[in-house]
Amino acid sequence: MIKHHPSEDLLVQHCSASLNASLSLAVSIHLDMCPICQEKVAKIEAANANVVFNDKQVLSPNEDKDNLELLEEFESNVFDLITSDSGIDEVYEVEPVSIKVNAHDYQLPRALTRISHSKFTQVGKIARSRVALDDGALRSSLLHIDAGGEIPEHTHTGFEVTLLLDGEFSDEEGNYVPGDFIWQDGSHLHTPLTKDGCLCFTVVSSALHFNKGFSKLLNPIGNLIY
Amino acid sequence: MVSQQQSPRCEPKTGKYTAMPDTPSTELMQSLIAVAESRDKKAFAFLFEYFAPKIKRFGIKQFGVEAQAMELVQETLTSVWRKAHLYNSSKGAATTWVYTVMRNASFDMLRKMKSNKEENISEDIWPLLNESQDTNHEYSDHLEDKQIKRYLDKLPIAQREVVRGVYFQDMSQEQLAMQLNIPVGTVKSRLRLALQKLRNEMGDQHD
Amino acid sequence: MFKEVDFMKRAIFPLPLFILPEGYTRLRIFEPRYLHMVKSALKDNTGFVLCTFEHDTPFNISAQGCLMDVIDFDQDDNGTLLIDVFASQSVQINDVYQDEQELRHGLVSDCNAPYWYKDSNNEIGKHQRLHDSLKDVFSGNPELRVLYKQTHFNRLPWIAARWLELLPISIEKKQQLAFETNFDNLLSFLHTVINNEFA
Repeated sequence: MIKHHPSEDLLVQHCSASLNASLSLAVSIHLDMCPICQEKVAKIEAANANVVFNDKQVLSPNEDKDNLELLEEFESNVFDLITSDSGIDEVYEVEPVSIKVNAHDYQLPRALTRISHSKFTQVGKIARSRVALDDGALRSSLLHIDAGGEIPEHTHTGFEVTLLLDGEFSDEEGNYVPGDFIWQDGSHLHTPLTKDGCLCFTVVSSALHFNKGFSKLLNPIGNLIY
Repeated sequence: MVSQQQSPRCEPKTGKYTAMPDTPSTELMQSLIAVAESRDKKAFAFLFEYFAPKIKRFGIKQFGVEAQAMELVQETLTSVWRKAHLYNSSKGAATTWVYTVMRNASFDMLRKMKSNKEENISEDIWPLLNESQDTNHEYSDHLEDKQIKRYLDKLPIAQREVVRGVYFQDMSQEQLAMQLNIPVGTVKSRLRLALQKLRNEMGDQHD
Repeated sequence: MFKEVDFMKRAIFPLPLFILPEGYTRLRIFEPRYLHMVKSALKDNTGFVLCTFEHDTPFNISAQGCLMDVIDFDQDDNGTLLIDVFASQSVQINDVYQDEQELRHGLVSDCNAPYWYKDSNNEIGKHQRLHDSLKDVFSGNPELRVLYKQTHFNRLPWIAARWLELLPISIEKKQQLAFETNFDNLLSFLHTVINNEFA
């Protein structure tokens, strides 16, 4: 059972589109896997709609006049433009997309099927593919860890979201199952370990800092992995 | 000619109402369904008049620029017109659905402004039809809608009008054109001209 | 002295629709509160009030409405109740409240809006074209003919009112034309649309 969910705050921001694209993508993947959060989101969206679209807001006289003008202009232009075409937009078809990483087959989450990602780059048991999403300082990746693999202990200057898509892993905090949404910020130290291998979607806000001796030398690896 | 006529509309006593008006949920839902099932322009006009000023106000808060707010109005209402068939009334209010359509359009616009990216990813993040939630249910509903539409198309026009809903029953521009035996374009331009004249005549009361 | 005004308590049905005195329309009734309304309108022989649904007024009620008589009813193929109603008179709506099933009620009284409906000259005169084209519309639309138990093609205000109900313009515009402008402006508007005359 999924134990780790996005915070209320994150869900609220997701619903009003005020999260970065990468984070909203992570929340969206989680939602597809989590009926509990789906319910919460439905409520938040209904509440937002009420705020924006209820009839209780009194327009100021000024705004009211604007509205009249707006509608007059629209009546003759945009309305005709929109309704002159009676065609409809069909929803895009979501064909399941499978990927193969080190002889393991995985099905991509729906939200990632139309967004491209780079080839996997392998370092030891860790393979990473960058998700092609231009999102400022945020980077999203698909991260694959082979059975018995571990990511060197690290901290962040920003935050890290790890969403387990398939397989399992565990760290100092416990075991994780697919759908678990793990948010960690800079103060945190962790060393995820997987017995059977796993595929994750990760979002990080900036480069990692590795703490253990040998890894320090390989600090550039942080940029490679995340 | 300029009219000096005082408005003869009766003013209601405003002090005695016991509650604020509710959102017209039933009417909005019926209109959205009428748009989906029969491309009903009268119903769409009702949605248009209800949502356009509210979307504009949301857009101004979001973008701080009027031009972009207007673009959001157009984007959102275009999607409402073209995607109304994806609305599932058993899943929630029409206002919630229109909100998600507007939210998605606004998200894509903001990203475009920030990063100059033409890609629209809002539908990847917030799919309008979420297959993984309940594939079978959605699919059968969708089918049913199409069957109703096919059934409607087979009915004689007179009967179709009755089935559709009797609320929006004035003439369409097409019907008026047919009745007057002139092209629809002529009806449109005459209406525009007549409304323009009306505005001029009433100018002193409305500025 | 103030004029005595007779107030009647009536149920109110706000709809995105525009109707004037002596107009007919057909309504589909399926919400329990409005089924209830129709039942008591028939039982007590009171009728109900149909008014334009407003976005920005208390209870979405417009100031003016029409007192409607139920003159016929039927069922559609799905068993939904259809009623034919006739606007017997224009009324002013006051003191609106909602009951426990969210049906609106108000105190209504006779009202002469639109003022031109009763006060104008009935003569068709130079407006023959409006008369002829409306006749064409009626003969071309069996539904209208079935709906209208009574027509008054000999009265100019009746013709103007029916044209205003039928035209494909927004309800807001219809209200403006009916209530906020004078009869000449309304006729001139109709001529522009119907026979492209710039009277």
